[in-house]
Amino acid sequence: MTESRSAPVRSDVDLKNRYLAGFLAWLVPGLGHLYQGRKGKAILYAVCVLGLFFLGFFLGEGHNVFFRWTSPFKDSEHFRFSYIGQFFVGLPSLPALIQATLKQYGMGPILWGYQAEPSLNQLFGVHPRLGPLVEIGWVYTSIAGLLNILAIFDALEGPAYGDAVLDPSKAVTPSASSTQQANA
Amino acid sequence: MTPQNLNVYWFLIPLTAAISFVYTASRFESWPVIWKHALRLTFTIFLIMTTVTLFLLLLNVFMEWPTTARGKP
Repeated sequence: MTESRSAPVRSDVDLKNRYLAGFLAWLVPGLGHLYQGRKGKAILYAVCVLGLFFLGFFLGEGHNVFFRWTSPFKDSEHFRFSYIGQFFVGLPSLPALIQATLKQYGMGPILWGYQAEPSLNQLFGVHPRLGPLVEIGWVYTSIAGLLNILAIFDALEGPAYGDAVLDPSKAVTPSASSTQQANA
Repeated sequence: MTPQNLNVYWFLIPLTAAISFVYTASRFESWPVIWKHALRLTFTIFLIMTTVTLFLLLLNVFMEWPTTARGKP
């Protein structure tokens, strides 16, 4: 195997405890990067992911983020596929999971019904009033979660290409990194 | 102005910008590079979407669609 194939082309980013950073990045978008000291990226991820999520939540008047414990194989019509994406926004979408679990066990909603499953009357009433905004809202909230998956990977592994793609002098080879560790 | 009055196409701007910036930020670490690539990606996505929209619009205007029994005047 040649040296060029085995050498990773990554910039030297201190990921600290990468698993903790990944968990924090899921919990609150940008928090994992803040923990790693990557403040600029933390702000960018927080603004983009949280901004998109809450804008979508606002457009659907809060009726587009909720979950229902049904099997996607047995009852795909009622399964909330959009929540798979929304889940990855972390803490802002977790109340939906808690409310659905409480409902599953026959308990009433908490937090004044925040992200609890709306009644059919509420759902049917919101579509004629808001029109396509409901759909735009769930697209926004789901894509916000899917984008946060990229941010989580960035916290776990560092940037996919790094700056070494553009400037090979910044590439960190295995021998260089082991020398750095030996010197430290 | 309320969101209901806005044309739905306006909602593509924040979505495209967010996708471009988050995707590019997950690839690179340097800010000038992130800015450059994110803006280029935003522009590319808009160019593709505009081309497809124009193509569908032209198709809709100039193509003779077969009328169904119900669609006949």
